[in-house]
Amino acid sequence: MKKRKRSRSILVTFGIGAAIGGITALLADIMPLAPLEREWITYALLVVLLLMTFRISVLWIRSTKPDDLTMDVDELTLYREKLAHNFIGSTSLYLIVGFGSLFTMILDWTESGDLFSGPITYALSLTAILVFYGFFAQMRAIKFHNKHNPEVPINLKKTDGYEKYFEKLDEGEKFEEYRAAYKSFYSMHLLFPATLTLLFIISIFSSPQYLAIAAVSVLWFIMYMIYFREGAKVYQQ
Amino acid sequence: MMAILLNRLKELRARDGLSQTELAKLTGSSRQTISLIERGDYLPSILIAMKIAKVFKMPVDDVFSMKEEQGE
Repeated sequence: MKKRKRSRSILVTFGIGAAIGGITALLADIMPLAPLEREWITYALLVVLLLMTFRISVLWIRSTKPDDLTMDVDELTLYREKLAHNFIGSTSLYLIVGFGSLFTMILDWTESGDLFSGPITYALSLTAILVFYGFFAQMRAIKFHNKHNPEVPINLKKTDGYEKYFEKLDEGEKFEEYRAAYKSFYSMHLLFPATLTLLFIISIFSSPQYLAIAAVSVLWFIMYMIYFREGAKVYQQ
Repeated sequence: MMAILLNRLKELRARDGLSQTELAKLTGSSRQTISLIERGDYLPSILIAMKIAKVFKMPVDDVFSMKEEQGE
């Protein structure tokens, strides 16, 4: 029952996000807006997108919470494993959306010529703070993982951090990593040429600077989403 | 002809009162690995199969058995 309620909360959050985006885009299209107002709407949309991702991340982490706390040793281990997995997964997705928004805004900011006033500066500052928060949350997530998995710590300060982590996994965990990585690779194998073709077609008619940032962010997001969803299967008993 | 590996891990764990986490510790592997083997999602290496059999004080082929099926 509780699980259904959580799924409903996630769906409602998605729905609200889509509704806000849809209505704003529709209003921006219908109403005779000045260029400055259009800019405000675009930046507001990017910030809303980032905040929605944050809300979904929180719901995803909360969905790990067990229905009751009378757990045996297996359930407790499973709960901690799932929590660490969802925590790292959701902060990664949040950071991808954050980077996409931040880079779009920086690009617009440098082109605006008005570097210290106007909507873009406020929106850029807010997005930078939200991305900074994402970094902090990701560090906390990895610290939580390392605390409960001292045998297989993740160290992102080193360039080969993930490689060392993989080497320390045992055979079953390596098999799961292989399965998740292969599935995300296979999806990217199909999505990359499709995106490249789309960008090529658009570049014939206009300059796809912003679209290129959005496309790479979306591909990055999908790749992580598939990887984490596949990886979560190991937590089924 | 297709061969599948059957195992009695769940039954033997229940007999000895071991959780997946405890069995993982005794065999020097992770809980995920034990869970994957138990569900039949992963074929263990000979080494880990022997370690599991040792914990249950049984020969490997009493814990794991092969079933042959007609493949397509």
